[in-house]
Amino acid sequence: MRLIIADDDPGIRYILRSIVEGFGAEVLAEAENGHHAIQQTALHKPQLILLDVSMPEMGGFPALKYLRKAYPELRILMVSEYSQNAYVREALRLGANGYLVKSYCASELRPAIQAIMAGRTFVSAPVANYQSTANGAM
Amino acid sequence: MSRHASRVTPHPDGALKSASEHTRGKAAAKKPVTGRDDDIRALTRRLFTSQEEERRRIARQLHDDVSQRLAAIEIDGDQLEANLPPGASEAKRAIRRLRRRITKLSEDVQRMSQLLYPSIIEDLGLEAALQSLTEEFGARENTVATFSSRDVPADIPLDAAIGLYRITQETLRNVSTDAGRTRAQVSLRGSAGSIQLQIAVSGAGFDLNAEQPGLGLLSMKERARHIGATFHIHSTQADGTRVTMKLPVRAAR
Repeated sequence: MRLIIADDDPGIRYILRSIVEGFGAEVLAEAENGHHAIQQTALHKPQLILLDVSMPEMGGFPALKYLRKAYPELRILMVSEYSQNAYVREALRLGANGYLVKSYCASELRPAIQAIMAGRTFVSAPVANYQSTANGAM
Repeated sequence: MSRHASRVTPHPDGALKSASEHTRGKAAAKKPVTGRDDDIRALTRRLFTSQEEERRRIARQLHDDVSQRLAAIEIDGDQLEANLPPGASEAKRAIRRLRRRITKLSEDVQRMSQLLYPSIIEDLGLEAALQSLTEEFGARENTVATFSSRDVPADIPLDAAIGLYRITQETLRNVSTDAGRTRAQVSLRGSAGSIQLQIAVSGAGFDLNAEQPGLGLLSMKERARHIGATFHIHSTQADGTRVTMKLPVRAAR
């Protein structure tokens, strides 16, 4: 498993790296914003990218939009502090393969990666009951 | 996220009107706008703007610093638990208790951050932000709350979007307090040159006949005026509360 970690917080990048390396994944590069993530993806051609939603300069959603179009085969797992349904809906709408709430990384990162590499969609347990419909009836 | 402040057609005034309660209309027409009124409006605009900027800065700090550090502690806790030797069940329970407290703290910090400044508007846009707000209201009040939208322009100026969001937030906050078994409907509609936001809740929340209007109501009116929107509120025990705003948007859609 070859992947890139994109998060503006070096502490979170370190933790994510240590978790994924713990189960044998290879971290090809780290990125601190969306632009950097796109550059590193072009350079290293990873199988997977862990993409933080909230980053300076270019956030995770604009980067996701670009990456999904440029690399249809790339698996993209959004990683965020936000557990609101609205964020999950937007991530999946833009083509993410999964959405993981950051604070659940230690227990959910491995199953999330396994699921999306097997072609399934993964949504973190705290938001797994998200509603996929955009509008309620009036 | 770009700010489209220049794309709103500002209204020069924004005084109060109408049957229930209305901004911009007859009352204002009777009372000529003086230089002092202009000063007060300019000051109010500055206060709203600087208040939002300060809230944004604090919310950002809460999110970027405190939330990230709490997330790191939660992850560390999970790893610590996973590395405990078999049989250390008491230590495992203690770590889980600690983990739950940190999770709760982390959720509270996020909620505070979103209350201070709705960054969801910048991340996902006004429609998604209002839908999320409606869902949260429904979950909090354990009641039916629906959101609908149609033909909403993509380029609503950020300050206008924040104003509409804040007024919705204030309406839901007021009616939720003692409205009991409420039902809420929030709808956002775009049409040629304008967008209309309506919040309808089955429960009175505002005393429109009070001699001294509540701060919540005053702040809603001022916010509507600040972004150049009309504001109408109807609130009775029998009919519930209905707030309607119409905001002109240059080149909507």
